[in-house]
Amino acid sequence: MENKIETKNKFKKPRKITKKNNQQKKTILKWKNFWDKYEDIKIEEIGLEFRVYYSGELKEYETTFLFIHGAGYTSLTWSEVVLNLKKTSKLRLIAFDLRGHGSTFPFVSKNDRILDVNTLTIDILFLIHRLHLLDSDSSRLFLIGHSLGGSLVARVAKKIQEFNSENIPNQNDSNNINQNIPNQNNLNKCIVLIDAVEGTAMESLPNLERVIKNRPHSFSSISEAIEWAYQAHLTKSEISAKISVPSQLVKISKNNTTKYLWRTNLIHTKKYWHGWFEGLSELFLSIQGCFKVLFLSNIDFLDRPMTIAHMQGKFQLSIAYHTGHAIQEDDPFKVAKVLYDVKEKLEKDRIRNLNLKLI
Amino acid sequence: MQSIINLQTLDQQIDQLLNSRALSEYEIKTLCEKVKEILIKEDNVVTVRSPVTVCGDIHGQFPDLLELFRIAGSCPDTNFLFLGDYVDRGLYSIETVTTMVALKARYPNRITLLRGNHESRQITTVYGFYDECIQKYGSANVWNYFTELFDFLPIGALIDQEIFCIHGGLSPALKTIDQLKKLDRFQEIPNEGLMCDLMWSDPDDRNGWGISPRGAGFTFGKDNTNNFHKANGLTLTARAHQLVMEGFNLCHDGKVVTLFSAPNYCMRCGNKGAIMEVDDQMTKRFLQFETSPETATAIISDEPPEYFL
Repeated sequence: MENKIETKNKFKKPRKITKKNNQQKKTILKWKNFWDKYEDIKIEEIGLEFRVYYSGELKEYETTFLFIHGAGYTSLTWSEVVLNLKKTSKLRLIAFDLRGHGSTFPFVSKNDRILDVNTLTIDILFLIHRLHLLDSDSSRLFLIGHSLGGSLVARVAKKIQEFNSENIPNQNDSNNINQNIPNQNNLNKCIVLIDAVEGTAMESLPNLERVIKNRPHSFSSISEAIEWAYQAHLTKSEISAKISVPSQLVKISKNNTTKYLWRTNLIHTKKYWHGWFEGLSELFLSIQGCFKVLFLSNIDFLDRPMTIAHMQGKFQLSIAYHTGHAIQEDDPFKVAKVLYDVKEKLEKDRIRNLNLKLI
Repeated sequence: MQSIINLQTLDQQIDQLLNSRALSEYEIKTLCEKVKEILIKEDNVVTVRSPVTVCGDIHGQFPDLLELFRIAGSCPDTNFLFLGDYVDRGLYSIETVTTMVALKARYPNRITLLRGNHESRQITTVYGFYDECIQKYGSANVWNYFTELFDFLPIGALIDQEIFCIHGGLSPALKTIDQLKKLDRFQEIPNEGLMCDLMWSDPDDRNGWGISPRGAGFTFGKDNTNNFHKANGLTLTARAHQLVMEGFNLCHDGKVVTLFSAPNYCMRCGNKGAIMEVDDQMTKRFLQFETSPETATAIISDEPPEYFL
């Protein structure tokens, strides 16, 4: 049955990388295989230079997808999803490395390790502002976040909602084609949370320190790290392992020996873990004027408030079976397909409403 | 060919099921064949006469279904109309749906089974019924028999020409009930369109049609309900599909009732279950019930995921 559904979609599995070069060691894949360009954007107010990856240009009435990775990951965790979405064109896809992650670095003080939920939320809002993602009423914005990134996406959406409701009088101009339509039919924002559920996250926190400490502290080569991540089922896609894992490491050379360490020391972030997920379910459910999707690998990972809300039809639940925590790496086709379908659906509804308005 | 299955066998099977013992794969196959022959003759919108007891989602909570029968009376002493969603999420989807189907085979005029959005191949592969079939019968055969049968289930019912019963709700494509007679219902539930909407839509406090946050169907307002009732001479729409904490909930000025008959849904939601008795004077009475002691004490061991940041 799965196959029957899948044949309908536009997405095809990317070609398997030839085994030839691959038998000895895992080769690295470059960002260029997936993205169009990157730039490093300095934001003076917070003293950070953010690494931002792009695919596609923004045209009017089109959609921007902004991807936020989880703790320890980088933008490149989204590479395979982006590759799949690119084929459908007419999308602008953006991801950036969070503070303390990947190729985002501070240029003034040592604020690389301040990773509390509010600081990270404000970082994202600065980036959204700088990239002009909210400037046009007519373009649609999808915020997609994995794990910690999912929690951040919900917080950002709430801030945007609060900002908009405070500023309603200013938006009341007669050119606004969207006004006076009953119901929230002109949804031009969507949030997608991937494997981020408060109750389940809280349950797993007590085991987390042990899990992280069981990881190798360093690797002698990048291919060793890729091999380890793949063997340890951190990602089930070899392609994702090859593009995502290298970006999570930093090279340290000392006394003629080279080692690769984790770019983000997750144990140092322990004091923030609770705050990253606390209150997420209530917050997610309170967000208005925004289409909401939750992506899980297992239906049982819903906590009580989310089970009730799901059964009341308050959000869309998508399940990607046989995936682990990094659903976007394990089943990028499924993630891309759901994102694409939601975009199409919201677009269709917009067109329908414009038609109604014209009549 | 007519399936050969006699009343005595059926009575034994029902007895066995109500004592929580499952039927064999072959028995299920025969039952499904028998019930297909009954359902194929039923209209898309079944005509039902009061008195009847209307029930909402069960979702595989078999001990709670037994509780429901204790409260409502059992078939055939009580007439039943179930609004769909027999399977998925609960631990005993097979026991639940087999019981429903066996009762339908034995008392075709006493029990009406409508189709819910979970009576579908696509949904049951994700929400548990498929896995349960594999786990309990070792193959997908039983799942195949049931999901083929689901394609035969009627979509709606009309009690005494004035209560419209449907799993989800209304559709912008639906003006009159007559329209539904022409629908080809013998198929998997489509991802959009009239048949999908009827299984997926929810009422809303705001007027007009809205995008459903579920990603399928629509939300419909009081104005939509009023227009539909006026055009079809209805007094009430009875539907299920949404969890309501009290087990039943009236909205749109009492013209839409939601019934949910899976108490403490998923063993975590803390809600009551409820059913609606409609007597021969068309008087409605709601009966609430709590989860059965058996379900309440069931142990679930969900291992939390190992890594989560």
